[in-house]
Amino acid sequence: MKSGHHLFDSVLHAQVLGQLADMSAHFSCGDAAPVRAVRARIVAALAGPLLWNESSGMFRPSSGNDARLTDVWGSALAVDAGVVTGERAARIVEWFGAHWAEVVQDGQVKHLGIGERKRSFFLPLCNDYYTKTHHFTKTAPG
Amino acid sequence: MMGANCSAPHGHSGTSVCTSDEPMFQTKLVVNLANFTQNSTLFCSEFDMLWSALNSVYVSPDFKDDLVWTAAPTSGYGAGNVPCQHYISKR
Repeated sequence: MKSGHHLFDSVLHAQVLGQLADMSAHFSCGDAAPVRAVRARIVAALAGPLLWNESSGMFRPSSGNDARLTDVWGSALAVDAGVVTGERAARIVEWFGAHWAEVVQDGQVKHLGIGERKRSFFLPLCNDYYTKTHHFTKTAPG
Repeated sequence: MMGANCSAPHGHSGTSVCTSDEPMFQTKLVVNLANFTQNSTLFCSEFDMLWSALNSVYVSPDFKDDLVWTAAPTSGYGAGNVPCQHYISKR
């Protein structure tokens, strides 16, 4: 189980808030301003050093016991969702360019960098996180 | 829809569990359905509830001010599931 702050949930949350705000504007209902304000706070937090690994040019899965690992999924989603832009986005794209063959195999994307393992990766009972997120990519070992 | 931010239907909340990421997926579902159908009524009638549910996860003080998810016992995915009633009662 991860400890500390988590990347993927935070990126996903920011993405969903953006989608909710965009649809609110599209249909001219609801107040999108506070939704965008919360999203902006998350994006601002992720723009800091909390979950960013400057040496690898990728995000960490968490700021706790997984901080040494590389969050392949979370970093990709952060770019896709527009949660990270500019230099960091460019570095993530660059990382994928350099490590594509290591993390993409048979149409599946690994969660972590090559050779990296999480502690207690799969939790028992009702942990359907990876079922729900199959819209993004399929799972692969490690 | 089912309890808007809960996998279990109303009435089963005492025995079922939700994960705190549920509001995100419920929102994705509604937004995409509304976009696909261009059904403004569907979306607009759910907006307040979805927004409230997305905010409900921040009730935990463990999020602090940065609103980044954590591994607190009742917040942050993977930290543990919570009774569905936990969410329903907040709506």
